[in-house]
Amino acid sequence: MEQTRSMTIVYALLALVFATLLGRLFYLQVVEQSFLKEVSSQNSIRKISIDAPRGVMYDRNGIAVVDNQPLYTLQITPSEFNKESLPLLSELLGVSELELEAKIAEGRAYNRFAPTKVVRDLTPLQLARVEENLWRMPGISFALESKRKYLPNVRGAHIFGYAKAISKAMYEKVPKEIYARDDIIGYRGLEKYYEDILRGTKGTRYLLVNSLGRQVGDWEGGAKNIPYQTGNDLYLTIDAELQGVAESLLTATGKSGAFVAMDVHNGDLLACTSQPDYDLNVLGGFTEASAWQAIVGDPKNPLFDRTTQTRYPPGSTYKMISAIAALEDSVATPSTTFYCTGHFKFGNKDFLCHGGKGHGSVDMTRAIQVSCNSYFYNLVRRIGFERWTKYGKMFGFGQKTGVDIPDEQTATIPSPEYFDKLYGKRGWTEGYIISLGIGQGEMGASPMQMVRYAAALGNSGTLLQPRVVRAYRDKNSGAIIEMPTVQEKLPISQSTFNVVRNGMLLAVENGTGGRARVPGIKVAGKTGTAQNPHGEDHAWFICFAPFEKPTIALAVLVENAGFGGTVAAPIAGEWLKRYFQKYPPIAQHVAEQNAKPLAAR
Amino acid sequence: MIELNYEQREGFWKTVDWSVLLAIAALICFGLLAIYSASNGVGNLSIFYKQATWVVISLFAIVVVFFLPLRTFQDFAYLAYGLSIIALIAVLIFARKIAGNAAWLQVGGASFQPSELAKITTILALARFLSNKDNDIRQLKNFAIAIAIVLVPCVLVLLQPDAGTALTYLTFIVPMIVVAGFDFYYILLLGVPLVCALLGFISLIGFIVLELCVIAFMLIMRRDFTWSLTSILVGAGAGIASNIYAAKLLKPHQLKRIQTFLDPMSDPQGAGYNALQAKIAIGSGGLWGKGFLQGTQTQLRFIPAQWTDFIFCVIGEEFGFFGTSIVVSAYLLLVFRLIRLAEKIKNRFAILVLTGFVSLLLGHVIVNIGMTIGLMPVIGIPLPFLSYGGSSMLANMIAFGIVLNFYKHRRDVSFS
Repeated sequence: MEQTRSMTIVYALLALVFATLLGRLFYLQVVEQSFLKEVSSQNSIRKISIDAPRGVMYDRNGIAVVDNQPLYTLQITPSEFNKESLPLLSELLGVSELELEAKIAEGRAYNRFAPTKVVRDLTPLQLARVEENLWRMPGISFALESKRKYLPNVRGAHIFGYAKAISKAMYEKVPKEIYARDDIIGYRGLEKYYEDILRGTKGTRYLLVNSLGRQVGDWEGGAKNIPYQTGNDLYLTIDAELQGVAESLLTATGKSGAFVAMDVHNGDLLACTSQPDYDLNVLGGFTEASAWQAIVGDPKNPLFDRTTQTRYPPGSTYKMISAIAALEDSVATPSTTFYCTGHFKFGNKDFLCHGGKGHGSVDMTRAIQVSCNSYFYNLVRRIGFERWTKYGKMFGFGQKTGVDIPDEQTATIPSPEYFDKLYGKRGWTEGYIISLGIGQGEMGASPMQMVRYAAALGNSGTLLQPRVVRAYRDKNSGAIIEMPTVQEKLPISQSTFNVVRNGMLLAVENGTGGRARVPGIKVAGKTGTAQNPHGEDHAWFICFAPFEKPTIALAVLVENAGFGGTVAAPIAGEWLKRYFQKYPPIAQHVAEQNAKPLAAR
Repeated sequence: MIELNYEQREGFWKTVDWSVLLAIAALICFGLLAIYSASNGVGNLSIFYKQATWVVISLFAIVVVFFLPLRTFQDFAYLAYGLSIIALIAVLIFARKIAGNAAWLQVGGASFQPSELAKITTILALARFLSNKDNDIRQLKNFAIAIAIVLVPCVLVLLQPDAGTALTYLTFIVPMIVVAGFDFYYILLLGVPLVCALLGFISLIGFIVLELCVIAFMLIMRRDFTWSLTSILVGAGAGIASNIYAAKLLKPHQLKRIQTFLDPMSDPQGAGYNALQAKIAIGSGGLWGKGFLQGTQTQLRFIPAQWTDFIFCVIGEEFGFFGTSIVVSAYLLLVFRLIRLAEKIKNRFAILVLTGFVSLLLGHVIVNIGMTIGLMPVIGIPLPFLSYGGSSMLANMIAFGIVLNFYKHRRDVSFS
């Protein structure tokens, strides 16, 4: 009896033990299965996103001006990295332990199980040295990214711009479904403006990782991997060779300045440079802090894009606006004549012309040809402030040009209302407008504004929106998507343009812009000098050519170069020579015939 | 006369407990598959081949033991025990260290772990001592001798130091002395405060449940009221005290070990790693498993000691609940058959030996499987017939050779 009772207890306990074991197994393997399976996948499957190379930029002739090349980045998974490897790694890389540690700590704070990019843009030597010793240092891996490759003779710093690893501040602002920490994003130039087009789509790779964190291959043989998609290629309007020419011509002056060349038919920029510039190779991959500091700290401010961000008075190049306003609103005719004594007295102020020597009796064409200030002092008094403002606006002054280069700036074009606001209702006098008549004083223009003005004079009244990108290739469909051209026909008569254009032609043929002459090609241009209260005056030169049937318009600015004809005009002349060698004027004889009646006048 | 004709009368078929053999065969098959998978994971199949060799050797052993005369085990129990003790001492002097434990003896080309075989010989020796009618366990002298028989090898193993194996020596002592006639009530009186103290530290609720169970049990047993009450009260005091003070008294690393046992997720990369990875492996196997050689936890080496102590994880991951329930059922079958046999047999020595074997088997199964599924702390002992290890395989086979030998003679008159 006693025996049976104990056996019952024994069997009951046995049943309890085995029921517990089986119950627990059932719970883990059936109830909790999906959760634990997920954990087990996370254990061994690592999702790695593969950065896509950015789109390539091609110049107007199909030359890759901004290309890609491989960039090796050393990354460290903090949870797997052994601190004792630090001295060895530091020695192999030639990077201080402190710097490495800071980077690892940053990654650890974010996610210690995810690889964090520690040293970007490894040299082949660094790569080889670390790779050889990889087995000693768990947690280290390499990421193959791409960095930009540029042509040796084309810098294009301000046009192309650069992309770099997203900063902490910027990361807060971008959509997280697209960008991850450490991703590359366009910071300046086209890289910034066309970020959405250039940026590819990241791929995903599922890697099997063993308990030591070592990659042992693709999960499910790579069937689940998603390939990356390269960014869309940009087709630029820039001519790489002529861009290089413009850069070296401007650099040769040793001065700061800007050069913009535009196709007068559609606003395509063939060359566009601001000097001093910076070396994109320094910023295209991983940028050393010291190199970055050198660029930022340069007193000449190479990051400043003088083509779109300067606001210097246009000087005498602006005289054509006054002439057009006078002719269009019939306050003067082409034969309206003023007598220039070299002095123009207004109130108690004496405005000088030609160093006070005087041009004698001048008509409108000649006034443009010799850049007679007195003529335009007189003329602008007839035109009046409102008309002057109206025609300035018509040619795009005081407004952004809309060029596809980011961070464009513009000055406000003066108007009575603007001066009222600036100086108070009675705070300014008519004397102010006399300076404005010759493009000096309270006004500013950028070379980008100037080139579309020059182009509008060249094509007789079509104001164009400048552009650097004419199309892009959609990597999905392979289709080439053209960018629209934006243009506006100005309500100005051809006869008015004929007078002004003739003046500009004579200014180059036999006037202030003589040094812009190109053998065999008629160039029409105008010099300008921006008065600079802080130092030597800035030199302007704008032009278009060939005169009969223009294809190209230029705006050249050289800072602290004095008179526009001395430094700025020769740059234009030299560049045009190279331009016409490459793109000879089409059917020149036909154009000449058409132009004959004009030239005969 | 009758026993000589035994085999003729019953036929050979009836002399063997085929269900036991089937269960063992199933376990060994699963074990070999799991070891193959685990050794495949580390790219070293020699582990599998070694184990397969040991299986063959052990099969010879089980056949030999099966055909030995019944009296052999009782007659040679003390001799075998003595040899085991010598071997255990030899291990302490000559042994080479494997995984921090000096547990192996080098015999010829093979290394051997005496502590595994010593479990069997200790049970045989204790059974022989307790089966002697002159040695009344209720006398203090005999009680002390019985305890000493177990404690000597246990301490020697502990010195290796191998706490896990030493612990297994304690699994069979209580059941065997109770079967020999020691009053379970006294064990209960002593055990309650100890278990209460332990449980009080781990879980207050668990401790209260235990106390209630003990009270109910004492009421059913209807024994001496004063003793029962004292034990319950001391237990309650110990439980409450350990619940409040133990955390302060324990050293930080000891505390951490207990905490990680209770919640492996609290330190997934450190102390709780093994327990956590084991649980993940088993759970991720699901109902049918990921398939042979397909377990990522196994093949990518996330499971520690996956061909020895954590072999069960490999089965759980690659063969799922299907595989684990077969394995658990096979153990249940073995335990059940052993108890049934002990119930049938009238021979005192055989009953005691069977009690010892069942306790030992159960102890290994509960602790090992319990630790892989998060019900037990991580204690490094092998899973019988499954884990890699020749000594363990051989010892278990010999033990079941003895069991089958008893079964063959279960109706033998002289045996009863």
